[in-house]
Amino acid sequence: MSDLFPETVLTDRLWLVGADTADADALDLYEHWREGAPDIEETTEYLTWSPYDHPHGVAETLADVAERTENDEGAMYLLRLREGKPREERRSAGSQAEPGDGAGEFAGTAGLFADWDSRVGGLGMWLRKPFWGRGYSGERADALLRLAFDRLDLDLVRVSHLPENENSERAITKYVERHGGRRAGRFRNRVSFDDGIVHDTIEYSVSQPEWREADGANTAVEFR
Amino acid sequence: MFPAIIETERLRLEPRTPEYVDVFELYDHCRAGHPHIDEITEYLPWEPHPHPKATVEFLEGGVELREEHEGADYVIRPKKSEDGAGEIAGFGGLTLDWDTDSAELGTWLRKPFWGRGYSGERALALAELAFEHLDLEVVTVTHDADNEQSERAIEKYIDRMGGRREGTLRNFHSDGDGPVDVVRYSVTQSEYHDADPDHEVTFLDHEGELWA
Repeated sequence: MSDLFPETVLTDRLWLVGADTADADALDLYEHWREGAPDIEETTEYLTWSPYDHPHGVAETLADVAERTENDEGAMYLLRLREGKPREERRSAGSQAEPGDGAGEFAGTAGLFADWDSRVGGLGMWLRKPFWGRGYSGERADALLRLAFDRLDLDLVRVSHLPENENSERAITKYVERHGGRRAGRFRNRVSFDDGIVHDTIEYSVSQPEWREADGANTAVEFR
Repeated sequence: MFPAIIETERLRLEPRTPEYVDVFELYDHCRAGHPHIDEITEYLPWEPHPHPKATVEFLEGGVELREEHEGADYVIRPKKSEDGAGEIAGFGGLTLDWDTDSAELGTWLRKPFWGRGYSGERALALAELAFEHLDLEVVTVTHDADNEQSERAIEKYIDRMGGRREGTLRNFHSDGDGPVDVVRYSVTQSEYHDADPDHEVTFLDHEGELWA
């Protein structure tokens, strides 16, 4: 195995830990991805996958991702908070990060998968509801764009969302613009989900020259 | 699942199978070294055929697509009234994606048959098949972003069908020379019905009887 996709990526506020590492446990993840998990219907409403009805399904997904990472085709990361609260807030409270304030807490998952022939990387993400609205999507995008361009030398990173997914639209529009990319448009009947329903997508992409020119990352990024 | 023969005002479309297409005649048009072949294949996802075996595989691929219901590809032959009547003018077909309830148009023409509007005539006939008989929701088509000739032809027939240009997908696929950007277009069944484009098409079975 090579290390094209690093095991760990650090940003200002997030730890991205490879889902092919020992840190990813199917039973733990199942607690968040199972049918009936808190807010799971809402957080997966516009995603290609549906809540899991058995931990074995999660184990299969993790095995599939591990195999793809092994084959240098991409990686899925668990997103964990480096600190529970913003640094300033914690300092003013005069305390260290304590259990219960969210340090190390699992916030979601994010992937980068490559099509080497086309020199394209595709982004995907799922975020637990308590972590919405904090700019984590953009921070994770800063990190994975850096990985795609600086380390993997891909030409292009693409991302899409369903037309009715306004939260993703806001988050994606913001970071795509920040990195000099563009919205390509609405493409009809572009995907079919696990439930068989067909959807249009809104497509975006950022090229490596656009990304370099824009130099738009808001966070430091470190690969380990 | 698919008609054997499709007749339009000026064209007759027959299945891309060894039964309907002579291997050596086709090889002569597709072979590496043919005077126009590089110009024809410049923006196409295939390379000139290095030997007749490649031509056989191409035709047998047409049989397999049909049998698996994954695609319906046809040899395009001009009718009697046309210059070059009965010749292989090119190919055109639908690639089916049942999961997304859609079909993608694809075509290529030999150079002597460029500029006659055959592409649009074939596209309308195949869209009719996709919407009226296969009951698909969307028909799509793409061209390489720098292929202006296809762009002109596609803009024209997509407009007649009431469809739209969706946008450019960068690094959409990769050919021998690296990643290629494409422009994608689509038409929905209801747009097609509303536009009700004026065209002639007849679907026939292998015996020449009306199909479906």
